[in-house]
Amino acid sequence: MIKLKDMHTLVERAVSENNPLAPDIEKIVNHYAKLNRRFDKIVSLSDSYQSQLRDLNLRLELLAHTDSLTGINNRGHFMDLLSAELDRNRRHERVFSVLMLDLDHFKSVNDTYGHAVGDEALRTLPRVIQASRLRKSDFLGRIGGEEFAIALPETGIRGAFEVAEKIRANLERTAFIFGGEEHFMTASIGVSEYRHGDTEDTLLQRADHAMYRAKETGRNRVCLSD
Amino acid sequence: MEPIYIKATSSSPEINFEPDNNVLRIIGESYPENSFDFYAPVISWLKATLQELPELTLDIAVTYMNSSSTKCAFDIMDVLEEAHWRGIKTSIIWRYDRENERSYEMAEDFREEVTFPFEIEALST
Repeated sequence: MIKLKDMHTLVERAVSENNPLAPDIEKIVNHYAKLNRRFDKIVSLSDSYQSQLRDLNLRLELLAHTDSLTGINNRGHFMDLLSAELDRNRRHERVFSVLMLDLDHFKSVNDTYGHAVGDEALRTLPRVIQASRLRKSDFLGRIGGEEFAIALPETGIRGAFEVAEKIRANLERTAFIFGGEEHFMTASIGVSEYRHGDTEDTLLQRADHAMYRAKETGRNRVCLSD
Repeated sequence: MEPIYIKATSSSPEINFEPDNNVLRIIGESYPENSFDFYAPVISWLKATLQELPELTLDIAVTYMNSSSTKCAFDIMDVLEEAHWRGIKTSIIWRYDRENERSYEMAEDFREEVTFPFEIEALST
């Protein structure tokens, strides 16, 4: 392969030797140089289009997994993550727990203060949860209107209770500001630990029942499933 | 000279010539199975048309091109450049995506290949 630099040298020599083919050689070399540049440009532009496509795909994936109001995992994606965690636990006999969390009196908050305040409460909750000692491997999702689920891998029921209690206490103390006013929310939380043979549904259902008990026994509290 | 019209598909752009203002529009995304087969009739139409018209504007709004389409875009631009040197008033309006930061830079990369007027405008969403 002759380098472009050497081709230019060839042209210069042809010109200085008064070679009658010199003008033609020069035309060919210039054309070759242009094609080279053009080729590089096509490749680099194509790379740009491909990065663009990749970025768009990532954004689409995120959109498909995310609850638009709160920015956390939507129900579908949470259930996928939970399924994967269950598989792991079945294979390796690990311990893990889930929390089901439901905001107290949410409907009357919406009715009294309007949906904008309700939405802000829903947006505030994940922030409170995440500030409450969650590990990197823990994950949460919005699985209903005002219902959230939190999965705590490598955590038994006692540890899960502590996390739930921390979340409950933090939420109770957290004022979220809306329209210049301070509002406070509480939540009822149910805790269940993975048992051998559990499916996503049985595990969540137990946590759900515990959460209902929390509601029925006064709200703003944590109940363990039996 | 028949005004050219090719309907858009999911992988190829619409090609549409407006005789009233001598504008050739290319709109959509370009990743046909074989770009050379797709663009060959466009290029031969363009060459023939530039023998008859005193001016032509290419208005191109293509948000994605595969590599062979990129090459064909350059081929089209070469045809316009050659006509420019013959005294035909050729020009390009290249529409870029405001949402995508590289889109404008890419338009500038295309612009470097020609010496006739090349405007870069934002795509109206």
